[in-house]
Amino acid sequence: MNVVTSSSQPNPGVAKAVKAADELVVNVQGLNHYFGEGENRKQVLFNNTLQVGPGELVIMTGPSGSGKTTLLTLVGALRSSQEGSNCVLGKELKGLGAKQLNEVRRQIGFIFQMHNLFDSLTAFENVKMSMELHGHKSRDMRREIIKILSRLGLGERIYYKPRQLSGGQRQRVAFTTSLGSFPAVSDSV
Amino acid sequence: MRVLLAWRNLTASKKRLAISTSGIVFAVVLMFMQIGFRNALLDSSVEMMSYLNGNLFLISSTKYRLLTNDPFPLRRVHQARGIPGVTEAWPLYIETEAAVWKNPLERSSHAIRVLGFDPNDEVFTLPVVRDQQRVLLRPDTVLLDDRSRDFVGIAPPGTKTELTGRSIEIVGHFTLGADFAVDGNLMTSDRTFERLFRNAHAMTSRLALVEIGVLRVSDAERIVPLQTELQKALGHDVAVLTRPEFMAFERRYWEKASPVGFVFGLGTVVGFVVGVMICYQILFTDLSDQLPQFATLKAIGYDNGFLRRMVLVQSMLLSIFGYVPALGLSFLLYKLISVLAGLQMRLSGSLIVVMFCLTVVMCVLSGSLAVRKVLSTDPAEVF
Repeated sequence: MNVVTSSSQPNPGVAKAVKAADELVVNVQGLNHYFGEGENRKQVLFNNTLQVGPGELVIMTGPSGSGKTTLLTLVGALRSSQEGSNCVLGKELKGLGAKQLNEVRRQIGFIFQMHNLFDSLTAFENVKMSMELHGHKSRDMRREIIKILSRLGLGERIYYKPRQLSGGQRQRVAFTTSLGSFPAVSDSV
Repeated sequence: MRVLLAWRNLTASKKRLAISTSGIVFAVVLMFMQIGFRNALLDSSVEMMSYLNGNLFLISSTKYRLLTNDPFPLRRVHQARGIPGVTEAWPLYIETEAAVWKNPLERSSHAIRVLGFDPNDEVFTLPVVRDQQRVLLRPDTVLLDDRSRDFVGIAPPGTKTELTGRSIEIVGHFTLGADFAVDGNLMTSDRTFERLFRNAHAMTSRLALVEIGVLRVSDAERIVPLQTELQKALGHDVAVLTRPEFMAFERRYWEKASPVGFVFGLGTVVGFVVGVMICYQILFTDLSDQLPQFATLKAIGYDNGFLRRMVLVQSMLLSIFGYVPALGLSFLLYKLISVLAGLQMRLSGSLIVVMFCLTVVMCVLSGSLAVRKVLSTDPAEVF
């Protein structure tokens, strides 16, 4: 598995420099992960280390089964960490319960490959589902959603349902949904 | 937002909504029918009692239901009349086992209930009976219940036919109604009753044995002490009952001792269970189709409480969608059954409320079962 990073910061050299742990958004150290139990227990992550600073764009590549998705689900607080350190937004995720992991997830933006938009809701309402979770004021939220969707070229289709949108348009709605939380970290698969 | 999502999930496809609603309608109508039949059974079994002009009633202490002949001596009625506080005491004779009525229109024979009383007494509260009962002083005359089943033959006054092999004339109508055990009713004078059902081998008059004693009291406030006093004075071969006790006595038989009450009770439970299963299937399918979306909600930070409440709202909306047309359909079916079968199917306010609550409980229960699928969804799976 290879990890390529780039930075949107004015000075790219900062991203490459070794950062102090409290500056990092993602700080994974010696992470191991297993699936199954007993004789069927199989290790899928081996002593992984990953550090991501603020503003960095990270691209992860690797053959199928190399553990990309597993690592992302662990960093995204979608699974409980088993061994090693998994620190996201300054919080150690190892040992957290379902409720605390849920709290962490609210600070992360997800864009899923299959979009996973509700067919019964409009583009606006799908984005609103995400924004409401973060307690934005109704008037601000409406203005913000329209602004973002318009900037992404969906101004004419704000009140369209997903099945009335093309694949690309749906993907842009899903992207807007991930921004609903004004996230600190964005995961995309 | 959860209400909007629940609403949209339900109404997104009109065809799917129609199918879901029809499933709920079926289950609710099934329950309405079962409860309606059960209530009709209980109400119609005490209908005659509700028209008796008494505050207290005497029956044989061994009597276990109204329909069975189990008379007590007439002298108990006379005794009761002598107790201070009792202003009137009238005997009412009932025959259901030996009465064979010939349909005056088709000449077919059927069992019928005959109520015999002195036409000078005000045994019944029905105004139409009060107006006509003195005509019964003429021998071999009867009043015919015009809500008897059709096969009894609702012939007009003046028609002659046979009752237990004796020529009889219909001199008027009254309205009482059939029930699950009785197809029709006749009223006649005590003297005609004696002629019709006297046992040739018996030493005593048929009128010496009474089925119900109807007592009027001077002070309605003192019914309970008077009841105790009467019971003490009359002995244990008769039971002295207030009107509510008398009705409860008959209802108890049909509810507890008769299998009929149990069958309709079971039918209601079956309707409820069928409803839970149908509703569960509808919600389960709907939720299963959107599992990736619900997993996504969990992934972005919605907790299980939100999902539970959303499914709860969806269940409640489904119950309302199903209940409203089911109520309308049940209303029509009640009317139809009342006309066709002569049963008193009453759609009371309390029944409407109880059925609505049952429908909501049915759907919420189904929803709470179906939501387990959503709750068990692993948000990591959406990757």
